[in-house]
Amino acid sequence: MRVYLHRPTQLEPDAVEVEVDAVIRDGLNEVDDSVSVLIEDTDEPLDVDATFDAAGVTDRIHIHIAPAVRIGVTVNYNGVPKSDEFSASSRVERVFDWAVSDKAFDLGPEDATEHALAVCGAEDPLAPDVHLGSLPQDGPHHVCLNLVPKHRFQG
Amino acid sequence: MEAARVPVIPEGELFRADIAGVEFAAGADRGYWRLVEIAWPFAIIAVTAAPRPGSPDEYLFRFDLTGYPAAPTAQPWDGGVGVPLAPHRWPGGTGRVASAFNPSWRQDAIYLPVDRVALDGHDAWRTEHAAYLWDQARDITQYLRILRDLLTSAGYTGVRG
Repeated sequence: MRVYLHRPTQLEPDAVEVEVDAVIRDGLNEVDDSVSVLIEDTDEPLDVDATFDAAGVTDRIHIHIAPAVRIGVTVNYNGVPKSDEFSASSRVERVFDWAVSDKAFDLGPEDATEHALAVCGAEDPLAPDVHLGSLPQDGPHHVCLNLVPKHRFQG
Repeated sequence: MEAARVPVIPEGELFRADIAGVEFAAGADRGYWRLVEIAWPFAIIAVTAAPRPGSPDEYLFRFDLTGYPAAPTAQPWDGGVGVPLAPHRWPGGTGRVASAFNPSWRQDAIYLPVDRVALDGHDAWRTEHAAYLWDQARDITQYLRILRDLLTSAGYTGVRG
């Protein structure tokens, strides 16, 4: 079966073919005791000595290989920072939903749809399905993001 | 001495390689888009839309990929009869959605900096919206992601009607 493999410092995943009954540690060459493997948007690392099937890894699923399970995030909006922690396999979309919620900046639905997250110092908005652990870090296991307005094109 | 020949990858082959690549495949597997057909230099790709009453689950876009990986241009397409989509069946909405899908401006392009027809005549976009321009180092999914974002945003309200 195919799995999409996300890694640190690589925004796009790789597609790898694995045997469903292979042990995760054996099926993915780069898995050793220094990394954890997480299914996308989950918080608990997989048992790498289990088979893909037993661990709940299904065809076309997205997984993340991470040196650190938890990543600290600071999101800045209008000069105000808010921080929290997410798993490395969290999609940017998950962080965005938190940032616009009443737990952070409390943007209404119409306001939220006009905003996106961008890495601090970058102009282009992040794709919502990029993994948090794949983003550039500004400190050990920490990512800095800005909540920025999406551009409307006129003229 | 004869100059060394630099192999040139035909445009169509490069596009087909991108369609077969991970970025397009991952988006297709997530249900974001699907390839309908390639009839070079054109390709028809369907992009999934958020559910709205009386509106389709997806919209088809015909891309003119002449010169790929240079910027393409795209237009909403009626896959049933193989002609441009009638304006009343275009995606409708407010704000960014209304700006992008504007048949009153043109019916053969989408009003986005990533579209080569729309960019022509909007030189200011090259500085004002530099992050939204077509990047030849990337592939067709950069355009598709923008369409998907618009069609799944709160500003998308369904077919124009």
